[in-house]
Formats: sequence, C-alpha cells, structure tokens
Amino acid sequence: MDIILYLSTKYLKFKASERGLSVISVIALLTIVISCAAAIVILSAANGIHENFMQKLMARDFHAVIMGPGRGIANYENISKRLLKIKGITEVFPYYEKQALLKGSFSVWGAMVVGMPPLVYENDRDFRKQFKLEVGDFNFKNSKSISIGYNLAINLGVGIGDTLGLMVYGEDFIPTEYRFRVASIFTAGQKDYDTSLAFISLDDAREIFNAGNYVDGIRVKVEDPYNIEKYVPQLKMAAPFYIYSWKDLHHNDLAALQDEKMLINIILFFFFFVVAFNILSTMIAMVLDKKEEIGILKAMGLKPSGTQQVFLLDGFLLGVGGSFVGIIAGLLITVTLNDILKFIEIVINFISSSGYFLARMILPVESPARFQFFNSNVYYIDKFPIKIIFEDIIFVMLLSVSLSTIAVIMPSINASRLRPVEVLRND
Amino acid sequence: MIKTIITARNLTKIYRTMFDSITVFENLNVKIEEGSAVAIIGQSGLGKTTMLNILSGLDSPTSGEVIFNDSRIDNIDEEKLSEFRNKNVGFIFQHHYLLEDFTALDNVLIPLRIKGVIIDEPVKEYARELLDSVGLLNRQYHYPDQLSGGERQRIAIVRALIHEPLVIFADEPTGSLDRRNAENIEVLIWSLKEKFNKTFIIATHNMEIAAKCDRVIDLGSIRANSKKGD
Repeated sequence: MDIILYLSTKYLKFKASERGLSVISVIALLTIVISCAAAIVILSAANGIHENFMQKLMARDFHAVIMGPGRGIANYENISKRLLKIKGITEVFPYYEKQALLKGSFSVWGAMVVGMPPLVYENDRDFRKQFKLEVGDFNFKNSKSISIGYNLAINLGVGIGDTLGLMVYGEDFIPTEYRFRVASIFTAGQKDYDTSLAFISLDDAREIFNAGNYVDGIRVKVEDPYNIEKYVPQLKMAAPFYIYSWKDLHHNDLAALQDEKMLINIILFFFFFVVAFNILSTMIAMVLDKKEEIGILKAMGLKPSGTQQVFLLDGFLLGVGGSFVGIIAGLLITVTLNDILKFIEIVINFISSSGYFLARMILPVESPARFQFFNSNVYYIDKFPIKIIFEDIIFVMLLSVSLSTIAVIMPSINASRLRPVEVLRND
Repeated sequence: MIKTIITARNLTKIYRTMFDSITVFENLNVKIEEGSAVAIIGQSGLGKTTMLNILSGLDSPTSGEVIFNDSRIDNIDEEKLSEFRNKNVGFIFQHHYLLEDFTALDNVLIPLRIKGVIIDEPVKEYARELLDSVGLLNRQYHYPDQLSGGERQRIAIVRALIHEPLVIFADEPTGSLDRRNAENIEVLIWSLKEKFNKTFIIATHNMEIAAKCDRVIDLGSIRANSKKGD
C-alpha cells in the first residue's frame, strides 16, 4: 500500500491508547454525518413543501392557459384537437369563468364561477387531488349543477342537494338569476378557493354568461410541467393567442420560492462552514498530537509533500466517509419522517394523557387537546410532504467533501513544514 | 583504498535568537571512511547531536559543506533531502521514537514503505528475520507500549537497518537505558556492525563504546585546539 494511504488510514483508525477508532476521527466523522443527514432532511422537506405549493399553483390554472382576445376563443374544439396532437400535451380543458353573485338560504356572496368540461374531475388526477370532495359528486352531467367551496357553502348556508341562486349581471346591470343545485362541496386547502370558487359545466357557463360559441380560453396539461417553456413555441403554433404558463401566472410566488431555496442553500453553506472549522480544529489537534511521529517519519525520509498529502487525504476520507454515512442516514430519516413524527405524536399524547389522568385525581383539569404536528384542519395536509432530489444529494456530498478537504489544507501545510530536527530536539 | 563516505569542510553552526547567537562549532573539518565506526564524544553542549544531525542531513550548517557519497547535501531542498535520508541514512536515537500506533513489525517496515517498497510476504519475512536476530520475533505484533525500554530500542535498531542505508547515525543509543539493557544494546550494535558492515557514527558519553570505535572525534579537544590557534 502506498505510504500516503497507509499513514492516512492508520491515523484515522488507530490511537495507541484505545486500539480502536481514534476519538478525534470519530468526533470529526460524527460532525460530518450529522450535518449531512440534517442537510438531506432539510432539503428534502423544503423540496416537498415547494412541490406541494407548486402543485397547488398548477391545480386551478393547470400548466398553461391559452386566452383569446376580446370575447375569447371561438373555434375552441378544433384548436383543442390541434393542441392534443402536440407531443407532450396530455389534456386540454376549455373554460369560461366570470365573477357572479351566489344567493344562498340566508346570504349573498360573490364568487368566481368557473365553467369546466363535465369530465374534468374524472379525467384529471391533480384536479381531484387539489379539490377534495367533502360531500357529493363532482358531476355536471345534469344541467344546472354546481360545486362550491366548503367555506362558501357555510357562508351561503347551503348543503348538498340544496338549490342556490346564481345571479349574473348583463350589460344593462340588471341581474338574471339562475337556479343551480349543489352537487358537491370541496375543500382546496386554500382559503380563497374555499371561500370564493364555484364550478359549473362549461355549457351552463356559456349559456348563463351569454358567451355564444366562445370560451374564455383553454387550459393545457403537459407531461413535464416543470419545463413548461419547451412547449410554448408549439402551443403558439397550434393556438396563436395569448399563452401564459403556470410560471408566468405565478411569477411572484415562484420568485419567493426561489429566494427561499437560495436562502436554505446559503444557510447550509454556513452550516457546513461550521463543520469545516470543526474539522480544521480536529486536524490541527491531530497534527499537534502526531508532531513527534511526523518528525520521526520525516527523519526517516517522508517528504514534506508526502506529509501534506497524508493529512489532505485524511480530510478527504473523512469527508467522503462522513458524507456517505450521513446521506444514507439522512435518506432513511427522510423516507421515514412521517412515521417518526407520528411516533413522536404518540409519545407526546401518551405523556400528556398520562399526566392528565394523574392530575385529574388532585385537580379538576381539562383534558388536553390531542397533539398533532400537522392538523389537517389547519394545514390541509395530514403528512409532511417530502421530495428527494438527486442533485441535492450530489450538492451535499460535494459541499461536505470539498469543505472537509479545504479545511485540512492549513494543518497539512503545518505538518509538512515541521522540521524533524526541531521536533526531536524539543522532545 | 578505503572510500571516504562523508566529508565535511569548514562546518560552522551558529544558533541565533532575537538577542543572542551561540556558536556551537566553527570551521570543523571531518572525514569519515566507509565501513568505519566513528564515535563523536565531548561534554554536553559541545554539539555532538548537532554535528550528527548535520552529517546525516537532518539539519543544515550555517556555513561550510557536507559531501555524502560524492554529493553535496547541505544545499539541497527538503524534498530531495528527505529522499536522500530515506536512501542513505538510518537513525538510532537516545529515545526509541517508535510510532505508538504501529506494531513492532509495522514500525520496522516503515522506512521501506517510505522508500516505495511493496510490502509483500517476502519483505515481511525479511523484517521478521531481523526481528528474530535481535530476539524479538515473538514481539512482532506488540505495540511499543507493550514492550520494555530495551526491547523498544532493539526494534528501533532493526528499523534503522532494514532499508540497508550506507550510514547508521546513533545518538546516545544507550543513554536512556539501565546498565544491563545498555550493555545488551552495545553488544547488539557491534554484532550488527560486524554482520552488515555499515558505517556507524555514534554520538556518545559512553567511553566504553567510544573505545571500541575505529576513530574518535573529540569535540572538546577540537574546540580547545581551535582556541589555542586563536
């Protein structure tokens, strides 16, 4: 074995007094393992939250919206057929939407009424995921059926099977009231959707809003929505109107997400910077600890460059080993995160209910509320969203290995500059 | 004709501090013949170790030149000097200086590893033979802290010889040992000198060792003579 590798592994592995893994190495290694594991969990959780948020953004407007000028798009059926022929376009949904007043049992509320093809709920998984039915059936096969948000239903005082009035104002500002039967009530996990959104069939929308042959636009779904830009030129060819991708429509939200991701990366960088300092101090301690041995090895002919390489390799091996174990640990924690959180919930609830039963014997106390990390009534999610991205794993690995190698440059130079004659004389 | 292995001309060594400078020796000339045993004697502080370090390439003189086997070593860079030491020089120090995290066998093999020799079974067998020759084969897998002072020093001697250097430099090799162990080490050094026919340069206070050497360099009388010359 090469002397550099031989000495590096020996220094990492052994300590004469312990005959085992060196305590110095274990501390440095654990620091890297913990930081890499934490980085993977943080990044995967952030990715999950971001993706969840982006899916919400895409759910209503889909991946791109084609909007016609003036009254909208007239020959939408032909255009829809043309769009579906484009490679990567999976679905098209013509729509018509307008603000209207909904009149319930005891109040009137404004809402955005969206006319969609009747089979949208059956055909589109993301739409189903976003607009979860609390009650009823998203079925517009029967004319004059409406699906409304949960909060809107409460505000209007209507339930499933009830009828409500949909008041449409014409150009003369005289309202016309249409009676619609509540077919379903949904929750979208976003207050504005739940409070002010209603779906009806496209035919009903065109009829009551007097749209004639027009639709407002066509919503499009693609295979790869995160790279929607690549579809835009072909969409423009097939439908020469205004085209807005979901990224255009939610530019500010995405910019905020981008900033957040950047912030997380900066925090991680500083996080690893601290780790690098830990490795630096560990390696300085190792060089001081091995000063006599370095002197002897150099007296026997180990070159200064070789001495430097021994410690550089130590830093590199610590980085590689630590990040490998840390990433595996991080991935294991990430994929079981929801189970871990559930377990913590069980433990906390067990402790609080045990405490409650004991306290009740002495004092008249109220029973504690059940602890939940994600109360689905508040957060609209019942588990933590997680997304593991391969590039993040590479990023963490590179950051950890490069910083732990850079961290040992100074101690390795110090080691290479040690003069054997001085070390041995001082000893 | 016996070849001169080391020639030192006009060697001067001055240690300088911020406020002071100490001249250890001045304009010293030394010639050492190949295969000879040379003792460097003198009181403490006269520069025995310093001279040994300069002749072996561990330290550099303030002025003067050192020619080792026809090549100057006082003016070469540290990388080349390291290579030179690994190829040509073996050290036995007063303290054994074994590497604590390595077994006796691994310690013995270190100079060969530095040299780039692949440590295969025949090489290990050779190292075991040497350990056997100093009576320590049964200690090959022991760590330094599991060995006695005399055993450690014997392993250090084997380590100094294994890569077959031209010259062995020994700095008070029995200085840290009790009388019995010191005698054993002394006997061992002379037997190995006989066996391997290497040049030995020994800095020592021990006049018995000095008496057995082919030549004695007395730094005390050199200094006295140079003062007379002044």
